[in-house]
Amino acid sequence: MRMISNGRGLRLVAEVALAAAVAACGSGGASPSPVATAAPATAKTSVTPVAPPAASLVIADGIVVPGELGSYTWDGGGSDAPWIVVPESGRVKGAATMEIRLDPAADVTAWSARWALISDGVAGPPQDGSTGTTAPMTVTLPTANGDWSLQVEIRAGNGRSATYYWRVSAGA
Amino acid sequence: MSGQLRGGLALLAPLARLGLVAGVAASLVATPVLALSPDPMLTGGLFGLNQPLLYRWSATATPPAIMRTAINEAAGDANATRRAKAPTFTYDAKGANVIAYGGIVPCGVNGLACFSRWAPDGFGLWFRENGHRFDWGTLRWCEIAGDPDGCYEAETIALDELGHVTGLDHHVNELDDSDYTDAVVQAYSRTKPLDGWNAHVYGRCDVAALQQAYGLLGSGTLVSTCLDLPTRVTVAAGRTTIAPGGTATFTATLATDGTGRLAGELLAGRGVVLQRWTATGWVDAVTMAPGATSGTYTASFTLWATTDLRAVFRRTTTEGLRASASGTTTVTVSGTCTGGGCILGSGGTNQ
Repeated sequence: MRMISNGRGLRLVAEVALAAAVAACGSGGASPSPVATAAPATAKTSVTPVAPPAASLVIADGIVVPGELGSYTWDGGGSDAPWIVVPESGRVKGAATMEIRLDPAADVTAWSARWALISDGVAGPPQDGSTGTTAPMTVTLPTANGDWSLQVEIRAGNGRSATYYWRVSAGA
Repeated sequence: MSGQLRGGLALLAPLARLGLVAGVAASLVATPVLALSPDPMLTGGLFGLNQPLLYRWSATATPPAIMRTAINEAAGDANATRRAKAPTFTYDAKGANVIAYGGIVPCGVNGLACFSRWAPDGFGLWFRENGHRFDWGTLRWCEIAGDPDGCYEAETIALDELGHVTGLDHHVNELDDSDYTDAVVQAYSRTKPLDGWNAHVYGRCDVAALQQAYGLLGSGTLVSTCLDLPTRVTVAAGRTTIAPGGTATFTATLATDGTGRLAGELLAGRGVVLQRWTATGWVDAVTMAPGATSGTYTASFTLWATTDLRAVFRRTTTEGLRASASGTTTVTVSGTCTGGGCILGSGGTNQ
């Protein structure tokens, strides 16, 4: 199905398209699934949900943790979310250095990573971070013990950006 | 790198603090990601200058009255604080653009609200319903929930979404987010009572991007301090040769000297000073008054000797404009004076 671009027809199709988009992706379940969901329907393009790639935190060989999708802008649409503190059930034990991978791969032009210590279920202010412009997107675990909220923001050019979150424990 | 951009690359910010910028700048300067700079822009085109965008409520997912009020307030915030010829947002029952609440919401799985834009034709907005349960918690809109800590203010989130509609992408923050309040269009939304939870005006870096994309709202509009925009001032004398004691009239023109929409925008209501050259250098002669046309300034000055003059615009802390000085214009004083007045060497008079 394609959007039509003239006034009234566009509106009608857009509203209809929402139903299709949601039906295709759902709106979040009980588990901390990181899988991207639908972007808002975009005009003049297919209403097939357009979303950023999924992101994973590679802690070690065989230990790959999907991330929670936060805010993004992607191909004419976008979604705004909070700084997401992944529930304790999604906690992973971190390694000294870890890598972020996207699936499908995206042409990342810049990325940044921020670490915020979680206290009483709330992420504090970012205390540490790193940035880069090319792969690999490698992050370094903070040295202080505790549960950390890791936010990774990618920029993929052409008005595309996306933010992902993990809960990573450091220390014993 | 454009002279319009204040500060440096996000990636350079932490390095700058360590004094390491110089060695790596060459390799990083190509990145498009900037901190302390205007919000990046989305692709997909822009709306027309001052294009009115009329919106209405979804017939099947109508926001409750308190949310409608908040969204309308946000539209007013956007219109009042854009400081650029960005589109305006107005409710109209027959508006072409639909805003929905609850029900079918195609936002990301963790999205509080989302947008779709198809400039220059229109847009759509969707807001999650109060009480929506995410994996990370339950959504509480401040306006509905009575402003408890941890709530999200719908007016602020709506202003963020309207910023996206105009073409703004998420602001690029410093790694410590110390510049979070420079923009409403953010990569994550804050709850009460964190700084920025209840922003009712665009941040300076939102405005900067809007000004770059759409131009200044008017010649007297303040340029965002998120910019570091070059200016250009020129000055011309009404007559370049006068008799001793004659009055020379000068007209200066002040304009932006940036790129795109910010190239040659006339700047009115600023302070432009006429300076004259003396043995000790340039000294202020007179502050020029607003001229007959926007962006022009005039002054009259009595001269007894040939004088070099120029116009100067000085930087202020209230806006992101660089200082500038015009080229020198020389007024030649020539002639003789008698009890009957002064006569130009060429035979004309000052009267």
